[in-house]
Amino acid sequence: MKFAPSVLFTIILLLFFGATAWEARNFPILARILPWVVTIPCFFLTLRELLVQLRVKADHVNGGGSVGLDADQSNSSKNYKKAAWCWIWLFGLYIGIWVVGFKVATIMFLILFLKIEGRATWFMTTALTALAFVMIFVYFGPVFGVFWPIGWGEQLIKDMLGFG
Amino acid sequence: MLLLGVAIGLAIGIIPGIGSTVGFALLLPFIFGMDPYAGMALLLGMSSITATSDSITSILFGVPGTIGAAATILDGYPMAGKGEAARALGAAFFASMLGGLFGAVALTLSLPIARPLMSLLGAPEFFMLSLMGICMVGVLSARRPIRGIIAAGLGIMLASIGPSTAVQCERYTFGQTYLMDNIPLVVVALGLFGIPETVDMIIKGTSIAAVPKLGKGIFQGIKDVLHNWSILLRCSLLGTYIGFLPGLGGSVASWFAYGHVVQTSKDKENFGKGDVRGVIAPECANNAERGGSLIPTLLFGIPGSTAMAFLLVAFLILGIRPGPDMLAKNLPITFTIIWSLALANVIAAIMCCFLVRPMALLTTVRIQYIAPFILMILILGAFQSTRQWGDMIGLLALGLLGWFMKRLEWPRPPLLVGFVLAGIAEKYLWISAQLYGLGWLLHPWVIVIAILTVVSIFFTYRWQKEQGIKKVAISHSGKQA
Repeated sequence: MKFAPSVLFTIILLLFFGATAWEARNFPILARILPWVVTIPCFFLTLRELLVQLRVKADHVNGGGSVGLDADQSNSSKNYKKAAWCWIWLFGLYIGIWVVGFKVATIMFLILFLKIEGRATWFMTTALTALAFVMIFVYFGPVFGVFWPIGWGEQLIKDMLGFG
Repeated sequence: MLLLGVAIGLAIGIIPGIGSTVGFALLLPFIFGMDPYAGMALLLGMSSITATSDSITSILFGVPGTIGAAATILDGYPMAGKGEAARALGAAFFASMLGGLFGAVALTLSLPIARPLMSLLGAPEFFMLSLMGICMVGVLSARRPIRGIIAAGLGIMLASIGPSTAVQCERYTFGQTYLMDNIPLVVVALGLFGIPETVDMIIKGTSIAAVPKLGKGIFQGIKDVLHNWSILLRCSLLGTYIGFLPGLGGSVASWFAYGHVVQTSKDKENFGKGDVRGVIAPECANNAERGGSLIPTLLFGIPGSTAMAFLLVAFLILGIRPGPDMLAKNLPITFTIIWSLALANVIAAIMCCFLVRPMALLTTVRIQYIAPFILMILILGAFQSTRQWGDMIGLLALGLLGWFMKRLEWPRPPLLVGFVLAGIAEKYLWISAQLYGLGWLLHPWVIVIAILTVVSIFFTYRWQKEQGIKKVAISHSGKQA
């Protein structure tokens, strides 16, 4: 059975409220009141929303109104493809940070993103990356006492060199 | 710090797609450990000013710098087409300045009224106010109120992850150490709004091709504002009032003001074709709304919009607790906020008048050049919360949630407001129950607030349903024709 993304999302929300209401039965009585006061009405409201969406979809299939399907219709496969690439870039940045740490990963990310996605010239890429490096790592970081995520690879190198 | 905030706000407001929400997301990492006065000046300087500089792209290119400037396009862009861009810009900047000052004055005047009011309110009343804030944001900020309420419920449930307020108990942590101290507010705010907006910016990938000629006439625009002083007063009042109501926000204020000036003007033929009144009304309302929305945020801790929810997050980072303390021991901070708001509006209007030409060039920068920096700062900002990988994973997960919510037309402000207010609401609920048992439900102000909440929700739901029925009727009659 194929579901529109909006219907799938509503089903996920329904499962979320159901699961959290179920889990709350293990809490002491005073701790479970807020979860139940929120999850039980929200479960039924979400169920109602799901039924409305399914009914609207059925009407649309039968040639009726299309209210509520605007979101699904406007999110074409082309948009989702572009969005998927964007998320892949973001996941790639995370993997880079995990491996080599924030500083190295973001410099690599900036260079690759500006070159590939931004189609910037080498001059522009280098200039913008250098500007970001100076602004964030040389100025804002020390002035505001910002902490950087350290990667597994970065920590390994520090340990090997004795800076642990 | 105020000047820095104004400069950042000017840049943010002028680039389409980046509003004060992303501005807050960019500045939040840098206010950790800052002095509260400096932090407030920085944030308010930025936030107040995006509502001034956003009119530049609306007038010159027909592209709103922020959603609050969309109404300005209707008359501002045609004015630019007629060679009156400078006049429109002069009117927009001056109206924005005066609207912002009006909002600051309204905030100041609300203080003596609020002080005696605060003494009437106790834990039960604050619980009801929190509930009202959550419900009203849920109902008013969504096309379908039911989605707003569900989103608010989702926010409350996310906030309940971690230690319970009432009893020693860990909820929904599943043994994860990171979750045993609640999900940080900054991670939720940046994830829900910062990541989806940046991702969508990259997907759209727009920039403006070239800057049109500005011409002369900025002072003519300023004179137009003074000539139409009654529009300025009425629309500023409207903007302040709308800002005071949780859930509506700047875009509603500007459209309401535009609609009001069209309806109340005797000669309406020029509206939509380049009437300067169509620029003055939305711009002053948009800026006045900022002052109005600070009233419930500062005094009751109830954020009325996404920007105010971010400001509330910033308050908590800076160690400021909104509520009765803002009128007592934190009164100096309250006045700092008011003065920052007023000064920022004046400085921004002056800077915009002199710097409009170089600022317009910023709009030609490709979004792909800006977006990766924003992503970096978002990740860095989230990491400052607890300096654990959980912050970054939370940012990504909530970013995905926020992005899907945006795509599928589920409102995000109620989720954030529900998250922010859940802890406060639960705390006041337990204090009320411990002090009064169930008797707190019969307190007069509790009943008044409850009735107001139910009535507001009922009328809003009915009005939105009527709008929906009208829409379907129009589409059906179109098909039959």
